[in-house]
Amino acid sequence: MTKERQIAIITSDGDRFPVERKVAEKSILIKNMLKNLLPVEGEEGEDSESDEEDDEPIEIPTQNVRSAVMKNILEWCEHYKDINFPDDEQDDDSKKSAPIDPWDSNFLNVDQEMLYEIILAANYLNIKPLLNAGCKVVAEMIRGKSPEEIRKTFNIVNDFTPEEEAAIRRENEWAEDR
Amino acid sequence: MDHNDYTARPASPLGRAFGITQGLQDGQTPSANASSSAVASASPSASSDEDDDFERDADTERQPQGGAAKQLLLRARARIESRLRHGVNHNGIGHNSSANNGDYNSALYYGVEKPIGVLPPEVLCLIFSYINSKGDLLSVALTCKYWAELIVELIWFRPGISGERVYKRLGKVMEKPRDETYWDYRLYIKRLNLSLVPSIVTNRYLDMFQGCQNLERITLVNCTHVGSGSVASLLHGCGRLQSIDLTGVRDIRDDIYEQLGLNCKRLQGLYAPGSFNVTKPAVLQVIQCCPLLKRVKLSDCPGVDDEVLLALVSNCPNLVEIDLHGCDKITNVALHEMFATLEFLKEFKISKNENVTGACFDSTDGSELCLDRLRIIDFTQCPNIADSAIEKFVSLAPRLRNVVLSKCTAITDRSLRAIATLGKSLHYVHLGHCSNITDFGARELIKSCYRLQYIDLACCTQLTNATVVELAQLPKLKRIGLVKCSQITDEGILALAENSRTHEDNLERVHLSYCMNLTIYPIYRLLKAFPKLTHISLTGVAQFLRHDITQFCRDPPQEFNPHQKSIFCVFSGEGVNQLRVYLTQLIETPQDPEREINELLDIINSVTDGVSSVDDTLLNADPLQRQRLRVFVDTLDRFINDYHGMRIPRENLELFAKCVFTRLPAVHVPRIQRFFQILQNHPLQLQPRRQPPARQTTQIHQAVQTTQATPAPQVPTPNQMAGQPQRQPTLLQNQRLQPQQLVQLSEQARVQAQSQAQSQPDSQSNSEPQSRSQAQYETRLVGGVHREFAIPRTPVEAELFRRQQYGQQQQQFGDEQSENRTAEQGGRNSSDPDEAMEDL
Repeated sequence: MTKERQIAIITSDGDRFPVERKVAEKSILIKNMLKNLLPVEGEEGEDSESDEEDDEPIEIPTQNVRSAVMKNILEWCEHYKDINFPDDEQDDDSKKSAPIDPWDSNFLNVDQEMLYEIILAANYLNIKPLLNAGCKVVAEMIRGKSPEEIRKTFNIVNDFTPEEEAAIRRENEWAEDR
Repeated sequence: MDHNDYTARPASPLGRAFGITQGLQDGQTPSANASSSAVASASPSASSDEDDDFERDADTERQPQGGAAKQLLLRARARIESRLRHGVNHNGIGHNSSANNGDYNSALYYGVEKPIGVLPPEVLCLIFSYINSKGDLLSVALTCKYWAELIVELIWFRPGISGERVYKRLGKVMEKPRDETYWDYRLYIKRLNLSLVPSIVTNRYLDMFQGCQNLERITLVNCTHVGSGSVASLLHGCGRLQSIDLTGVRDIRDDIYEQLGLNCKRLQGLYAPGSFNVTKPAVLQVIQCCPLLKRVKLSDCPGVDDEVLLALVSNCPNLVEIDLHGCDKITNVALHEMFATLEFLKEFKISKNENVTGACFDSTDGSELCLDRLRIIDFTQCPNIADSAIEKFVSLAPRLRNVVLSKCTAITDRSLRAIATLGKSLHYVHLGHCSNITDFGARELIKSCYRLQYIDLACCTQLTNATVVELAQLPKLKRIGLVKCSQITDEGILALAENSRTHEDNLERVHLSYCMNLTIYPIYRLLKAFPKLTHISLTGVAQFLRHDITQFCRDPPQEFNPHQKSIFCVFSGEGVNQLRVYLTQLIETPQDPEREINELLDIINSVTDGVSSVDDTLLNADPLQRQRLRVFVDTLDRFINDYHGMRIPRENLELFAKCVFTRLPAVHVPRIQRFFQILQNHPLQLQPRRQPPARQTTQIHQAVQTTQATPAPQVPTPNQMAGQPQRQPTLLQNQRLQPQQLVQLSEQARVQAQSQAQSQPDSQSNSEPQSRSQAQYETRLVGGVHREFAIPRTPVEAELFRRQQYGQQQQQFGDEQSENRTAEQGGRNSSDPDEAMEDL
């Protein structure tokens, strides 16, 4: 009986993306917001005052995300729209050691700039599974590299003096992999 | 290069509108926005922690988790700022001139340029938390100062002291004065676990960690050399300590408890089971000062009495686990208060306490306890816990997972029936030394608790194979303890092995020490059936105490006396695999003649050892028995002396035979079983007989001919030249003969051979038994043993064949035994077989 209120996301550069509610709700930020804006659907019938507004689409501004990035984010949300990610804070261990989902890995196979923007957007929009996948991809880029290789990969300037570098190495190289 | 990207990005209007702040940017109140940022869980303390069972309780972690990543980051940022403000790093190791201009907002300081520069530090921390290798962490620490500050805590928050090498190298860093190191690492250490190198930890080493004020967990399991004073000093200023595990530490005194009380107000876990020397005031002080306590182990602490337990119950409402092993002053009064008050209690253990009875579950005002949350209960060696107590607590605590009642000597099958009502909840049950329990109770328990993983029934001497057969049905069983269940025999173990398919091969540990009657074959089958088996104990089981088998066994503990060492027989880890391989070789390949004869002689020697003569009047009274004895001796003589070329005097063989026939004590039964196994499991035996000396051949010939002359068996006319091929069909035919028929057959052959010999006046007296023996032997071999010649041996078939053969052998042996008994019972009046058994 209820007609779905239309939802549109407005990006920082002014583009408008109409989305399904369950796609948008992959973002916990948007989900919580919609919870406030649209009270529980069952009550809608009784709440006749808001009827006139019902036809107007809800517009959600996301000032930190530009269109090119939002396109990617929405593609991810669309892909996972029917999957319920458990809200488990405690199952951290298994989440950490789990390998990256191949679909995610392929999805995140983009240039570094886009990758970081996706991670930033996932953090801002609070999409944990995407944020975690993104961070794993970056961690993967670090794995097995020497400090110099890491600097090169991420375009980092070495600001240590040789003495400092030696001290840090000396004092921390006891740490071994089991 | 715009650092504002990650330092001062304004919260979006949207975020503000809904009270959601974004990440950290105005995040001075980490706890307030913990729930809104996806990064909240990026704390180091949330990473995996496999090294400490103590820490399994996830809620120990909850409290600091929310803002930990952010706190870490805030601290890192504060350090960066302080370093830059002061222009030099405080440790005096030189400084970076480009970074000391005070402008800590300079992106140059961070040394990180776009594109990764867009990522805020909390996201970087999350990324770093996915790095699993310490080597990679170090590489990150060496890339630039900014990253180094972010990652140093990850390297140090839980130094993985996994071995002596790390222990020493870490010691080198820790022994430096703190102003000579780049960072003050003590502040980063949150978990100190020395239980992987317990034997080398010294007081001096522990003292180097004084000043680690952020310690949250201390684990010193089995660090036997550390003293109370060092542990107490370590605790100075540790206001964040959540748990300390001193299991196995020998020197625990009041000073540790005092420091815990003074410093560690947030203590949740106290494992100090060796607190023999701790006084009551010290324990009370900790209880008063640490209201958050959740897990407490105070085993064997003489200061613990009802007053202490009542204080614990009233001050620490969060208690989840209480372990009071050996606290013998506790009475039902305090226990009742505890069960009635602590609503979160999941584990309770007490032992060696004579006061505790079922009354601790009864209340004075008529209200019922509710122990829905109780999962683990342990009343080891509480002799006054009786059936009624068990029935009571099982009804109050229907979701018990572990029930330990070892040495509760009062309990009977009634308790087992009560425990059975726990059904699938029960995973772990220990009933060792509950010697009243029988197969009936065990059966009910096992039938309804089908998710049992661990069961111990040691010294439940009334249990028989029937219980093992039930155990075989448990699909999840991982560990079985049947030590000293001496009624358990091969049959039970074979049932266990047969059922392996229904188990998904889960079984990992089996304890069968002092199950005297076990022999090798069923264990071989068990090893084959359960590839995950990593531990099997067979101490004191005679059949396994031979050098070729014990070579794979673990070294006995140092403190054992020579006798204990001599019967020690425990296999674990790789030893189990080696045993499996060896037994497979032993059983699946034909015997090596030399080993075989040695084993036979061993058996003969051990059975006749110390026996000089056997009362054989009964035997002699029964002509049938006498004949059998002779046949048996002849067989032995032929097999051992002729076939194997030994020179064992006939008297010795006779003595052995008489032992077997008249007075076989139970300990020898497995040996004799093995003896017959060797006799029968001997495919190569016919080989040397193909061209026997002429005289013998004739006798065989004669014997077989006479056999043929009798009406019953269908032995073909032997042709000396074509004898071997023609025997083949007979082999197959005889395969289907029942053991009784075999006995008949052999008996006929024997009688015939005898009459033949008697009818031949020229035959020498000493060749007569030999010819009989050959006839007998031949028939037995043809009938019962050498089917292997006729059977193609693909692996599967070979296995099936072996099973069949084994079964038959058992049966045959059983027959022999019962024959033995009936003969005795029928033929004599004086002794009954059990008495005879006890004789030796």
